[in-house]
Amino acid sequence: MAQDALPTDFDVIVLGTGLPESIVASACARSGLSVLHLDSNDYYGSTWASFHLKSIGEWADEQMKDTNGTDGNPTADFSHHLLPGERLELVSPARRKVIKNVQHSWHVENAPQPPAAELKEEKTTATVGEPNDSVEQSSTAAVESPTVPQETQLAPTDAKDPQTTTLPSAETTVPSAETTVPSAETAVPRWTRDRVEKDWRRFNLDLAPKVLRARGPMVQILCQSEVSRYAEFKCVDRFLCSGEHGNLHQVPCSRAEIFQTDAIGVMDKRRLMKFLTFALNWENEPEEYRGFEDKPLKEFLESKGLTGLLQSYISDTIASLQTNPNTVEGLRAVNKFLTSVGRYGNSPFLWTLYGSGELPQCFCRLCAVYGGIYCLRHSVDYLIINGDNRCTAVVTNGQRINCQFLIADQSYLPEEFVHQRKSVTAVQRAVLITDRPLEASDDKEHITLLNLANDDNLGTVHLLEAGFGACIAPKDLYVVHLTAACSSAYNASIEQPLSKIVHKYFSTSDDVTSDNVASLANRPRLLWILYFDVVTEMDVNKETIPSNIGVVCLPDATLDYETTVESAKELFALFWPDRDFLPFALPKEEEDEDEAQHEDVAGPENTQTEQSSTADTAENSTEHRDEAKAESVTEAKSE
Amino acid sequence: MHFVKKEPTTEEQKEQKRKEREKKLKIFSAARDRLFDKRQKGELDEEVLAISGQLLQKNPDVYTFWNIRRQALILISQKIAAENSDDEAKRDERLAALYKEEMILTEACIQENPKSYGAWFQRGWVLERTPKPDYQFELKLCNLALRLDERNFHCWDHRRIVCRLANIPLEDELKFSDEKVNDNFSNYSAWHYRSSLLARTHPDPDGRLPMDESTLAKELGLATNAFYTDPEDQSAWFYTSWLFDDQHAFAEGPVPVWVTVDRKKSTILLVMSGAVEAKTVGDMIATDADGEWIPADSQAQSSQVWLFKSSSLGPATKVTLSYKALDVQVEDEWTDLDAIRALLAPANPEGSLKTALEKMLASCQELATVEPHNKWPTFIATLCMRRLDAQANHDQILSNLEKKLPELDPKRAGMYADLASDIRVDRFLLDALAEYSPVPDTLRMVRMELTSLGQLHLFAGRLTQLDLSENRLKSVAALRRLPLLEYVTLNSNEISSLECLSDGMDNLEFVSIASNGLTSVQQIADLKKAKKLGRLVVCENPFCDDKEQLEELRRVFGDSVRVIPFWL
Repeated sequence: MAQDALPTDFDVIVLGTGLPESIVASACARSGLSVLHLDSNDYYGSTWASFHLKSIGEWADEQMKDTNGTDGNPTADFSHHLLPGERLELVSPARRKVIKNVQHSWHVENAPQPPAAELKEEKTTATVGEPNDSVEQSSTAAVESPTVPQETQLAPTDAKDPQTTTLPSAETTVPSAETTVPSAETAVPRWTRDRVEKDWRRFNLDLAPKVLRARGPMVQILCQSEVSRYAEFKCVDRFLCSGEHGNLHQVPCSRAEIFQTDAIGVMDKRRLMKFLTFALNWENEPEEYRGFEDKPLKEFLESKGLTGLLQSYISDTIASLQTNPNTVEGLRAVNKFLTSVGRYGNSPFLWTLYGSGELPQCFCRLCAVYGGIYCLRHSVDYLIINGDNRCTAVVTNGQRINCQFLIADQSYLPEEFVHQRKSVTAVQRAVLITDRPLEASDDKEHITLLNLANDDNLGTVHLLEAGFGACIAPKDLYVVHLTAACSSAYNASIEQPLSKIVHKYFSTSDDVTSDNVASLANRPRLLWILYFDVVTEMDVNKETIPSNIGVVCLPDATLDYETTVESAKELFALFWPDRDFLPFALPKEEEDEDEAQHEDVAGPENTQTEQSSTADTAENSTEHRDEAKAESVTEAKSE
Repeated sequence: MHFVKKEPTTEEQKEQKRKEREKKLKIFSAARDRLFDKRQKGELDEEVLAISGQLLQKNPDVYTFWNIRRQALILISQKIAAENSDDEAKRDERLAALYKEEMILTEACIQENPKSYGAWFQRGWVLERTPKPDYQFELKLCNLALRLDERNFHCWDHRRIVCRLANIPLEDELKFSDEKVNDNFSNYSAWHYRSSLLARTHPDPDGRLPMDESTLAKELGLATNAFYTDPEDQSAWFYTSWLFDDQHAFAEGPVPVWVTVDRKKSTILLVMSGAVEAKTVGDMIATDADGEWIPADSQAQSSQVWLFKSSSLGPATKVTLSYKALDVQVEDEWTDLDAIRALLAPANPEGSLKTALEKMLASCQELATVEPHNKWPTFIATLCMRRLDAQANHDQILSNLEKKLPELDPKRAGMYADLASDIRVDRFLLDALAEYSPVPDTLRMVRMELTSLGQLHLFAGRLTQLDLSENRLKSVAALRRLPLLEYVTLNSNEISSLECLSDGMDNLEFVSIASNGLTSVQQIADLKKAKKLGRLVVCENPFCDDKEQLEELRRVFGDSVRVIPFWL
C-alpha cells in the first residue's frame, strides 16, 4: 500500500479533520511547520462535516452501531517501533463515540406506485454488513482524491460511493416523481419521499451549523489567511423572534429595517434606536446602566421602557450572542451584534454556502497549499510516549511516524489520558427537511435565524433555516437546524427535548385542520428529521496527558464560531508562542504587467506607481497616436 | 511569489525610476502639445479622438480635452452625414460606431473617477445624439454607480437625462426612489428625487400644495417614520420642511398685488406676489411713456418690487395693467388686498392635510420630550403650528423661535430670530390692513424685536414714512424694496452700515440713525446719493466722539444736508 510513501518525521501530526484541528493544522503549515493530517473517516470534517441526504443517513446508521470490541489493532505487535524508554498507548476511537441518541425518520411516504410494504415510515435502514472496521484497511489518499472507495466498503448493497449509487436510485425515482406532479396541481404540492430523495445530492446537511459574525474572529482569520477565497457566503437576512402568543415576528436589526417595519409604532422605533445607539457606545456611558450591572438584562430593558415585542427583539435576537445575560454581558453581546451589522450588508451574520462543513475543508486546503499532507480513512493505532511523558510518534498502518506535537480531538486519545466527567454535557441537534419556510411573508428566499427562549433544561435553542439559495437544499425545500445546549443532567434516554419545538413549529401531517394552534396553521410540513446529541463525557486528564498533545473541542451550541476560533488560537499560542497565527498573506505582485518587471513593487513604492500613471497615459497615447496616424494615412489613400 | 523578500529600493533604482517618469512626462507633454497644435490648425479628425481618448482615460477631469473631443465629434459626424448619401445604412452604422466608441470611453472614465464632471457630461451629450441608445444599459450603469456611492449627484442627473430620453414611466422611478430611501434614508438625493417625481405623478388639483393632499399626508408619515428612527439625521427633517413650503400658494406663478402711478414724480411702482424678471414686468404693464423698469433689489435679475423711471409720464399718459383675465387702466393706484392678505396669512388647511399636520405636530411634540436636546422636533412643530393656524398659534410660535430654539441650537439663533421677526411683521401688517382703510402711508414698528422686515415690501406702493426704532436690525438692505420711502427712523438698532441704500432711494428726505453702531462716516457716505435728503440724524453713534470723523461728516455731506450729530 501507499504507506511507504509517508515521510517518517513531521513537526505536527493532526488527528481528525474537524474545524478547530483544521484551523490549527493550517496555522502550523502556514507558519512553516511540516504537518501530517490524518482522519479515520472517509470524509472531511469529523463532527463538523456536512453530508448530502444519502451519506447523512449512512453516517447516522454508522453512529448507531454497537461499537464494542473493535479497538485499534490489539493483536499486532508494534513494540519493534519503540526506542528505549518509550511505550505504546492504544488509541480507541470507537470507545469514545461522541454522537449519541441518533434517530432519523421520514414523515412522508413514497409515491403510491411501488409496492406499499416497503414504504412505511422507517427509522433505520442500514443494518447491512458487519461493522468490519474500515479503519484498519484504510489507505493513504491525497487531498484531491479523498473519496476513492474501498472495496470492502462497496461489498454491501448500501454502497458509499456516490457514483455507483446514482444510477439505480435515479432510475427508480424519476418516474415516480413525474407521477406526483399531477396530484400536486390539484392540491397543496404534496411531497413524497422519493421526490425528496431524487435530489439527494442537492442537500448539504450540517452536523455543526454555525454562522460567522461579520466582525468576529472567524471572518478575521478567513480574510487575513485568504482562506475566504475557497468558500462563499451569504448574509443571514431574516431574524425571527417569538412574540407573546408564540407568533413569530420579523426582527428589524438595522436602521433601514427599523425605518421600514410596520410592526412597531414610531415611538417604539425611537426607543429601540435609542437603545441600540447607546449599546454601540455602552462602555463609555456607565451611568446609563448603573445599578443594573449584575441584574438580568431584562430588568434594564424594562427600566428603559423596552417591553413586549421590543424586548423580544433585543433579548431573543440582538443580544443572542449571550444566553441569559446580565446587563453588562447583554450590552456586550448587543454591541458585538451591532458592530457587525453593515460590514457585509444589513446583517451581522454570514452563512457558509454549501454548508458549514465547507470551512474545515477550506482550512485543510490552506494547510495543503503550504505543504500539509492529508490522509483520510487513516486511523491511528497507537501513540508512542517517551519517558519524559512526551508523545514522540504515532503508529498508523504499522508505520511509525515521529512528531514534535500532536493535535487531536478527544476521540483519538488513549484511555489513560482522559477521565469521566462529573457532569456530562451535550449539544442537542435536530436537522429537518421541510417544504416551506417558517412565517413566509414575502416571495424572497431567506436565510433565517430564530432563537427560542429556553424551556425545560435546554438552553436557548438556535433555529437556522435556509434553502436553495444557501446551496443546502434543492429548489422549494428547506433545511432547518435546531441546536441547543443541554448543560446539566444530560440523560440520553429521555425523549428528545427538541421534539417539542419541532411539533410546535412544524406539522408532521398534511392534515392542517387537525391542528388547534390557529396562528400556526400554515406551519411548514416536516418531511424528514434527524436527531442526535454531541456528548462530552470525558475530560482530558491533565496529570497524565503528555505536554505536547493538544486537544481540541467538540462543536458547542453557540451560534457563531467565536469560541471555536479562540480555542484554536489559544492552543496554537500555547505550543508556538513566538509564531504568528494565520498572519496576513504577503502582498501580491502588482497586477500591472508593466510593474511586474520591476522588483520594487510592494510597499511604499506603490505610491510612486500611482503618481506615474499620468506619464503612463502619455506613453500609451503616443503609441496610439502612431497607430491612428497609420490609420489615417491608409484612409487617405483609399479615398 | 509567496515569501519573496522585498529588496529595499536603492538610490540607483530610485534614480532610474525618476528618469522613467521624466520620460513618460515628456511623452505626455508631447501628446498634449500635439493635441493643442491640431486644434489650432483646425485638424479635428480621428487622430484628435485617439489622442484625447488616451489622455482622458487616465485623467478624465481635463475639460479642455473633452471640449476638443466634442468639437471633433461634431465635425466628424457631419462629415459622415455628408458623404455617400446613397448608402444610408452604412452611414448610420458608422455614426453608431463613432458614438459607441464614445460611450465605451466615458464608461471607462467614470470607472476611473465616478464623480468626473467632464465624463458624465460627455456621456449625456452623446446619449442625446446616439442613433440607437441602449437606455437599459444606462440605467444599469446609474444603478451601479449609485450603489457605489448613493450621493453621486452626477449620476442622479444622468438618470434624469436617461428617463427623459427613454420616456421611462415616472411610477417606475418612484419605485426606484422608494428602494433607495428604504435602503438608506439619510439620502438627500433620493428624497429630493422623490419630491420632484411626486409633484408630477400626484399633482395637487388646486396647485396650492407640492402634491395632492393624500400623497402629502403619506409622505409626512414616511418622514415621521424616518425621523423617529433617527432624529439626528437631517435628510428626513429637511424633506418634511420642504413639504411645508408655502411657496406654492400661487401655483400659477406670481401675480401683481399693487401698482402705484406717480405722475408728478413720473414713476410707476409694481409689487408682485413673487419675484419676476424684467420681461414679465414689461409684458404686464403697458405705457406710452419712455423709461426703464428697475428692480428694487438693484443687483438682482428678478425682484418682487419694480420701479419704472420715466421722464415723460404726464397726467394723460395711459398705464395699463394686463394679467390673464385682468385688464385695467391704472390712474394712480391699483391694489389687490385679498392677495396681500393671502400672502400674509395663507388659508388654514382642511381635511386630510389638516389631519396629517396635526398628527405630525403631535409626533414632533412627543419626540421633543424624548429628545430634549434635538432642535428638529421643536423646529418642525413650530412650522406645523404656523402652517395649521399661524394666528391662533402666534404666541407659541414666537416663544419657540425666540426662546426654545436659540437655546437648543445657538448657532442658528439668527435664523430663528429672522423667522420670528418675519412672523411679527406679517402679523403687524395684517392687523394694519384690518384696522385702517385705506392702507396707511405711515407705519410705526417700534420695540418689536425685529431683525428682519418680512413682507413689508407688500406695502411698498403706499409706504412713505417708517419708524423702526428700538429693534435689533443689523442691516437695512430690505428698505431698498421700499423706493417710495421719504421719512425713515432707525434709532436704537444695531446697524453698522447704510451702504446698501446707495441708489434707488430717490425719495428719501429724512433719515434718523441715532444710537446705532456706526464707527465711520464712510459707512453712511453713500446716503449723499439720495438726492432729496435734507436731514440726517446720526447722534449717539461711536464716530460722534471722534473730531476727525465729525469733520469728515461735514465734508462729505456739505451744506445740502443738515447733519445732526448731537441732540440739542
